[in-house]
Amino acid sequence: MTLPAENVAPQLARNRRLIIVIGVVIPLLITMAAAFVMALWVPELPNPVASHWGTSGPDGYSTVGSVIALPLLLTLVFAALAAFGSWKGGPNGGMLWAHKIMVATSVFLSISLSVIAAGSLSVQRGLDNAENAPAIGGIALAAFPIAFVVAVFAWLMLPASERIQSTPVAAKPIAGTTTQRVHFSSTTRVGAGVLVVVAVALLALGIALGVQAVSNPAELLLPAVIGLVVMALAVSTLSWRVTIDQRGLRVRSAFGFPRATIAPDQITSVATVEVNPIGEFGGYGWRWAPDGRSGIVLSKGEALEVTRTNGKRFIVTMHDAQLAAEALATVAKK
Amino acid sequence: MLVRVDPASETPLFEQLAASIRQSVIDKSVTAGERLPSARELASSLGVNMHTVLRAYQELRDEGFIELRRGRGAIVAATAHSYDTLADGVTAIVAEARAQNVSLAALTALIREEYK
Repeated sequence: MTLPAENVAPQLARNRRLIIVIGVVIPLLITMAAAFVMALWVPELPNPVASHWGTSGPDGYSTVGSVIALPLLLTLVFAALAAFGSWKGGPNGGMLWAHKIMVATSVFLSISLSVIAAGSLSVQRGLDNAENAPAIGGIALAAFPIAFVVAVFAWLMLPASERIQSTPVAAKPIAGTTTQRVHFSSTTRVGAGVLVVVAVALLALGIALGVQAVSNPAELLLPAVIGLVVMALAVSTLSWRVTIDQRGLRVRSAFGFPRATIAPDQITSVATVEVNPIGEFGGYGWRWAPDGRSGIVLSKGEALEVTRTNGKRFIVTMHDAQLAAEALATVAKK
Repeated sequence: MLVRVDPASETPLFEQLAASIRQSVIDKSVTAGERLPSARELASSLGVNMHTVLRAYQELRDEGFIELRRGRGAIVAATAHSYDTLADGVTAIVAEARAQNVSLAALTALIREEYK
């Protein structure tokens, strides 16, 4: 008996088709359709049109062309990014969770950008002067839930994410007398590649705040506070101090916040495990994985994995995970 | 870095501490320039007296393994040279001693005599 060709096609080829259709073609069709509709409105629109709204009406203006082109351009760039990023697939030819997120985000972005651009132009149809444009807060608020719902549909059309989790290896306590006490301490930090990306992102954020400070100092306070908190958290979580002793496991980021402690009586078992930051946790830092694990994910490779009495698992990537696991197993008497 | 002490052992605690940290420097689980936990932190972590930890740190400083700086705590010394060749030599000597049934006491006596 022969199976229909569709079923025997290699999984990777099928996934790539889905990536192209859902992550690239559909988002581009949506933005192109929106661009076409907006182009039909051009004769009725003022020139220039309002493109940015402040608390008291429009405060930024640009040409119709750029409002129409921007969603197309951004969608094209992100769709290409999503396709390139997920093209290789997981180690077993499936789609990783992070790949699915990128493809679904491509859909989300195309719809939200198109709705906001088209919405902002539709309220200006028939106006002589863009200064009279009504507020578009409602359109912006509606755009995100609509885009989100469609992105969820896109997610559901993608195959189940491939699990690439490696099997944890239980750690044995360090051999020795029952009266021995151990202290383990180590520093774990992100690699050079991640550091460069973070530096570039923080620089961009800094420049954005600088531009805001010059162009619109009146509305600087809130963005500045949020920006500085984000920067401080990002820098702090690049490097962590790990301490294991009779009080349990303690992890502390460079500036002392965030931090976490797991007491010995909360520990069910201790193991070492191989971790893939992007594939399993979708990135770096203090992370939560869709499978319920959380932890400090700074590098690809060895990690300490602690299973707590409530069933939750906490991981810390570190180069000396084996030694850490043995020390913690000794403390927890597991 | 892993530090192990056993209060029930006959070896003084500060010697156990020093031996543990010395071993960490030799096997490179701490590297030059890395900061060791403060004496207060290590003492409360292991449930020993802070002066015991300070005594171990002072001994390690005298041996050139660490530097003690006011306000900055203990730092693994940059001058803590590579022990690779020495460790290889020691492995060879110990193997030879075992092969000839020379006791540890006799071997250390030999080394002590040679070092004078």
